[in-house]
Amino acid sequence: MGARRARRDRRGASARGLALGLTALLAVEGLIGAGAVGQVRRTDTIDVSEIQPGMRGYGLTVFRGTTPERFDVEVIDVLHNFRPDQDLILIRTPHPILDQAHVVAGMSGSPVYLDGRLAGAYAYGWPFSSDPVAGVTPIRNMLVEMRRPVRPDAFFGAEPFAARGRRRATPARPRLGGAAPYLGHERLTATAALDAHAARLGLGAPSDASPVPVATPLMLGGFDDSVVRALGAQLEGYGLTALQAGGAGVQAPPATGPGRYVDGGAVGVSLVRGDIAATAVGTVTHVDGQRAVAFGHPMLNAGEPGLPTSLVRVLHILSSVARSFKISEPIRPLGTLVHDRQSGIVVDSRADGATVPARVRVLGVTDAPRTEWSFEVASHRILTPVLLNAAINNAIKATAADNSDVMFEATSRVWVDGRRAPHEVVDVGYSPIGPANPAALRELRLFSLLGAIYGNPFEVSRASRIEVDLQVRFERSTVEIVDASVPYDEVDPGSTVPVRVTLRRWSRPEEVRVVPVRIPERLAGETLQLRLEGGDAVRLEHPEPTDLDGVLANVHQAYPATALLVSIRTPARGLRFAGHVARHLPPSALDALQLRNDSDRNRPFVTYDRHQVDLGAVVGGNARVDLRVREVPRP
Amino acid sequence: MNKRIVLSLTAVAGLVSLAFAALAPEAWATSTERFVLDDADALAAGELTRTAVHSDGRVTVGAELRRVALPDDVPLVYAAARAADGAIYLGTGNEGRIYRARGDRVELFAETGQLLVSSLAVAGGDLYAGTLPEGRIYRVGADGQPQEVARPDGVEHVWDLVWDARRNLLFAATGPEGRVYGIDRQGRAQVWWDAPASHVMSLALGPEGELYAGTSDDAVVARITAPNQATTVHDFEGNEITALAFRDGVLAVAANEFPDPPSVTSAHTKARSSATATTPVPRPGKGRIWRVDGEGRAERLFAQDEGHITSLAIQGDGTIVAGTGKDGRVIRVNPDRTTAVWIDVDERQVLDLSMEGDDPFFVTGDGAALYHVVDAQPRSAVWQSKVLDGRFRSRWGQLTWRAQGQLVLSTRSGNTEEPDETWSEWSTDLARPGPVRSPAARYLQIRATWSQDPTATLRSVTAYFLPQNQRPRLTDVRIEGPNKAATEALRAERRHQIPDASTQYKLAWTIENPDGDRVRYRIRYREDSQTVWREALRSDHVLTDTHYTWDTNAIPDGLYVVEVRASDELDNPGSLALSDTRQSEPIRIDNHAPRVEQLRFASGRLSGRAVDGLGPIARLEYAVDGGEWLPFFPQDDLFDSATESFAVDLSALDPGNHIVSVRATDASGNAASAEAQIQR
Repeated sequence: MGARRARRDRRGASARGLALGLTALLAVEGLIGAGAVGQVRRTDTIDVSEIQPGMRGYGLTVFRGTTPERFDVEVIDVLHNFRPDQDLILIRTPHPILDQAHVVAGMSGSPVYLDGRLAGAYAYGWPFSSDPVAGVTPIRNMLVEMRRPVRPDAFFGAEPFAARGRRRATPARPRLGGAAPYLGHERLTATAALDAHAARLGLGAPSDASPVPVATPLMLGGFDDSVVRALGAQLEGYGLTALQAGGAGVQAPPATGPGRYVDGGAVGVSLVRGDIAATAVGTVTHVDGQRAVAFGHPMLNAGEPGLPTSLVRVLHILSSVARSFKISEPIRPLGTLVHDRQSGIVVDSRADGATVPARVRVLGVTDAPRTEWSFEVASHRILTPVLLNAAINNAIKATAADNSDVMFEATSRVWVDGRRAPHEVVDVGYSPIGPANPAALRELRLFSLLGAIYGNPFEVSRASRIEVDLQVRFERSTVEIVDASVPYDEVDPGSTVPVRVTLRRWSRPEEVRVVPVRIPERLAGETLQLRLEGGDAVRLEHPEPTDLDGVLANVHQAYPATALLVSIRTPARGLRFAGHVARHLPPSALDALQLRNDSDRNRPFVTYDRHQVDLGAVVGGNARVDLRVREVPRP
Repeated sequence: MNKRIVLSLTAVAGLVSLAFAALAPEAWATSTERFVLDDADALAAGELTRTAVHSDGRVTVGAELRRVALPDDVPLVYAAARAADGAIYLGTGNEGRIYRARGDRVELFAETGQLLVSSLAVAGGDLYAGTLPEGRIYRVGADGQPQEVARPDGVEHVWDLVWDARRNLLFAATGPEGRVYGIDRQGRAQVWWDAPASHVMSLALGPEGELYAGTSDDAVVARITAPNQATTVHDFEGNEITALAFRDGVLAVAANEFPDPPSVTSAHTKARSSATATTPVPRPGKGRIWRVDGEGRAERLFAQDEGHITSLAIQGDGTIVAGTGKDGRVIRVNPDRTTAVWIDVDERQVLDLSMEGDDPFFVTGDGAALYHVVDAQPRSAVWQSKVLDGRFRSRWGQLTWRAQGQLVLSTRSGNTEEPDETWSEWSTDLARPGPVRSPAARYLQIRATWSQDPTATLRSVTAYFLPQNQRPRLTDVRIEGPNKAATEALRAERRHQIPDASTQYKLAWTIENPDGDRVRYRIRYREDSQTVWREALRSDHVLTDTHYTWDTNAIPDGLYVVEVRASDELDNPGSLALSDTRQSEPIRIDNHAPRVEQLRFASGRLSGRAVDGLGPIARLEYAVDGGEWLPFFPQDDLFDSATESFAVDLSALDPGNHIVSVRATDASGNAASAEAQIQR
């Protein structure tokens, strides 16, 4: 609750401080930012060409509290073309703390001054280096990003940047940054977007011999150790180091301390705040008007992510042979991450980043110390599912860490901004290792809903609220398909065939269930293939959606995991269309509906006749039966 | 279309040389060929614009059409129905809309929200619309508001609707359970026929209230007289009855045979991608039109292997008119059983038609349009051949045709399979046969234009051409057949096998002959170390086979290279003939046996040497007193030279007089022996 109050206070202050409304803001500054730089003094900077080996200077960073302190800097040399159109200044940082800590996670972005002028940002280090040697991103590259304008509609949900009136007309494709649009045809995992993003960036294991961005500590509060490790593994490739810290993400603002970003001050990107918190911490390189550039390297290289940012207080620098980092916590929300680029991140103080209020409840665990978690999670295509997945795992871990059989029923409700009723999906599953089973929970259709909302190609949208109720029962209610048979190998068309399915329920003897399956007369003379499997394994042929609602409808269409599906593969073909699926088409219609010069969208698919039987337990396994249908029924 | 080789070399070559003297540097064959378009299939293979091609091979002026386009976002008109007031209702995909056409004006009439309006029927003032994929049947009032009247269980498609005014019932042909429903005005649906097929595709109502129904995925037509009272009229070849029409006691049937469904990869399980299906292009079927008379006699009237029949109508005079699913054509089957390709439009499919009244029309798919068939003589008409392929760049000769009446022909040419901007313009018209006026190229297209005489009839068209001569190419020369001795010899040695000796060498070669000209081969050879070639064939020997048995009996032993020369001079004059040569790997000729000499017996050993002209010696054997041949090795134990000395230990022989034979065999299999008489 403290977090909510602090946020309300912050909004009030923000509203008072931001006298300019959105219209006026944009009118004054054009496309946000382009004009801002023009209004402030020119930064006194030193160009890379002026930098010589042996030059001495200083850097600024926060070692404790909120006030930046100096550390000495000596130039080793300049590495040219370290990145495309970007050099790297190699420096040594003799300092009592840095001599021990070498490269400190969280120092990314610390401004380095040479000849009294700003040279760049402390940004790169060498893994397992024994010297306090670092790489500095030249300020020239960072200022370019700082002055880069942003599209107002890039930050849907961020205030006051949100451009609601225009969002329906805004094509989502540019916002997806080249990511494949999601149409609801397949189920998404919590990390699907993150994995795809990593693949696009070509992220791999860093070489010990190559400079890599100084790690950005992701300070986690209220998380179980196992969740910290899991989240760390997922985000490691981006240079985010998950660290167990503390804090609720928003502390009451200290009586003294900065109310704005300062050069060398600490800055956090708040991914989660509330009952749990996750903040990526770095250092501000330079502040120019309402904009601050920081980190000296990308965070996720996500373009214009619109994530909320905050002022941060450093508690301590922990020196470690393996990894040194700043222990810190956010103290005040302030601004939005408007650019996440190669040479650094850019924060704009005038807007609040978009967040989604979320609630996770774990039900069915008696005497649990806590069953409900409320928090705000950053609204972002890639990060929201990942963070929400971590939050769900964390809630379960804290509530029911039992390592035993458990059945769960996850009811996920997602409100789409601008739509009144929530989208609700129910997933039923089983975990043999207790409810805290990341593999089972990462496939909840909640994440497909989020994929539809953030990754649909039709409109810019966002989730406005998320609720997950996880009902757990400590039992094993599963049924395995062991075998299936039909008492004859040839059947009459139009007859009803008793398919004998041998099922194995947990702790019970095998049972035989007879599923009557009607063989359509139209399949006379065919050799049929009957597939038996759980509803969760069956993939439906969805229509091509034409809007977000269509994508969401596709996500909703699924058989329950507790259903046994008997699918008869038919020789007929079907076609998908916008909003429709036509099945069992005769040849002439199949021909007529396929245009000669159509692209590959309208491809025929095999159609199935499906029979659904609810078994009341999660169905696993599968079986197949081949069956010959007579040309004509026996007299 | 026939392409015939014509050997009237002199006359046509003269014409060609006159017409294309400017192109002299190129090599042109003298085998004049010609395109002959003189039957219905050949003449109908092109594009018909207001022309018709009749089954007896005539091309005449056809029907005048007036095209009414539908909005660009409508890909097909699947069904059509005419109301009493003359309005034509058009059932379309893929937004499930119904358009209304009055004259040349088309307007959106109703939206069903379904994928396709697949059937329409007019009943009094009501319009009924059958749809897919949810099998909904709507009644659409004058205000264009669709009201769902029926959605029978299990029905996904409504393929045909027929209104039976006498019973006050709407009959619906449906799939995929293959049922015919009778639906009353209250929307109550009763199964009239549950067919043993996936779909009932088509319906036709007889004068006595009997209902005819055709099925898919077999091709059965049934006669239904009451609910669940159906008898089979005929089981047709094929797998789909796409259309039926009944008039004056005659039932017309469109029975089609479609290929197997396109192969696809199932997206059944979630482990597979949704886009794994392989894309087949539309696969039209084979189309047949049948006539069933009142006695149930089925008679096939028309058949085509490319393009199924989509729709049927019977005109008052008994003419059957049919739309096709390929190339957008309308076929006429006349009462005398002659047929004609009557109409040809740009759209791919003619999906429904109505030949009733004074405003016959048809509708199309893969390009949505409504065509009115105008009762007027076309002012102009054009017949255009399909693209004719000369296979190679060709000079064009005479264009001749056989016709009655006045019409003009012209041509165009190019080097791409489909005419494009690189093709020549249409040539000036030829009012009478004469030289083709298009430039040399691989492809030619011919058109005939009716502009002054609508009664003119074209019977056949012939275009002569002279393809550019193509060089025959030898790709290899080899030894094959029973004696591969030469080049195989050394390999045989390595395998310790000695070939049979023979002087007959079978030479063979492979040729690529793009234009199929007759090719003459010449063979010559030289000893590998010499430069002088010697002919293997007499000068008057015309060899046209791709093999030759070479007798080397009179040729000294040695390694020889054989050269084969291929020339198309048999079909081309010397100055234009093209040739190619190819040489063999060195071939070893070894026709002489080794000698066994200097046999001496001393100290129980028989010594001597084997000498061969070419070598090496491959085997040594001896036999005592005519006994079994026993092998022995030379003194150095290696068979590696043309001269091998040997000494055979005979100390184990019984005392007395013996005759010992020694036999030497060379690597080519030639063998010789010598004998010695010894005393032990």
